[in-house]
Amino acid sequence: MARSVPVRLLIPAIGVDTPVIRLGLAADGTVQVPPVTAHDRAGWYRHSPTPGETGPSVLLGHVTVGPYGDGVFRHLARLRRGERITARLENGTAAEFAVTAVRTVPRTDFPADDVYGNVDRPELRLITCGGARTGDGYADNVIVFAALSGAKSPTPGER
Amino acid sequence: MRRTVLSALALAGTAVLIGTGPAFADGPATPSPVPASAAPTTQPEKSAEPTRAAEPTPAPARDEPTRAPAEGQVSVVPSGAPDTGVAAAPASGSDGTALGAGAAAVLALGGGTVFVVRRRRATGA
Repeated sequence: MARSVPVRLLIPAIGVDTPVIRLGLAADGTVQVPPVTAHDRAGWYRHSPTPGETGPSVLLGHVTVGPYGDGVFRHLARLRRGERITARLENGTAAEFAVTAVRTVPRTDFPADDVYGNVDRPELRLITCGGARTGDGYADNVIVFAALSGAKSPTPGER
Repeated sequence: MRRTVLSALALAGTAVLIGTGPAFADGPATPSPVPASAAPTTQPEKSAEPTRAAEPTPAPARDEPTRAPAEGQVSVVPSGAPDTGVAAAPASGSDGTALGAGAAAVLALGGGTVFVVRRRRATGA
């Protein structure tokens, strides 16, 4: 698919329908995460391919947003193999993905190669936190791996 | 006398010949500047060098494709793990627990008092 940034993410199985913001790098070299607000949104890491391009397109979202309660990826760990994820793109097209794996890994042993390494097809990575709470955060990361299953051309009024 | 004149003439002739000899030798030597004309040929070589100098331009072009795979599909790999969870204020949770514990203590105390009062009434104390 042609390069076009994602503007919306839909995961029907866990009731996610969220706008997508752009994220870069934080000053300490870690990936930026969406702001902690009442209306939590997902974010696309802008140094990764756009959904539908060959490579791992990386999207992040909070599991909880402190005083505001549940984050947009609250139930990400519930996703199962084969479930559908749709990324709507700025050019009006949509990239359809199917979940291939869901992993919960310790944050201290984050699998950067598996998440950010090159692949030979369009793939998606959805990342949030999970596992036991540690202070004001979490001990683990939940990572959903998905592969492109189809593409939709623009539908009038569907953006 | 005649001999002397003749030999002198002969000497002079040979001298002239010898003198002209180097002159001829010089003559062909002058063509050696012709190599000067070869100098122009070296010049074209020099001018060829700039074309070699142009080689560096293709060189970076070679670098770019090699850089692209090196960079990877994710052009900048972040360090560490994403911090995508701000836990829902554990402090408020512990406050809640404290409140609950306090309420339970009050209830227990109240219950105990009622029990003791009833017991005393029953025994007529």
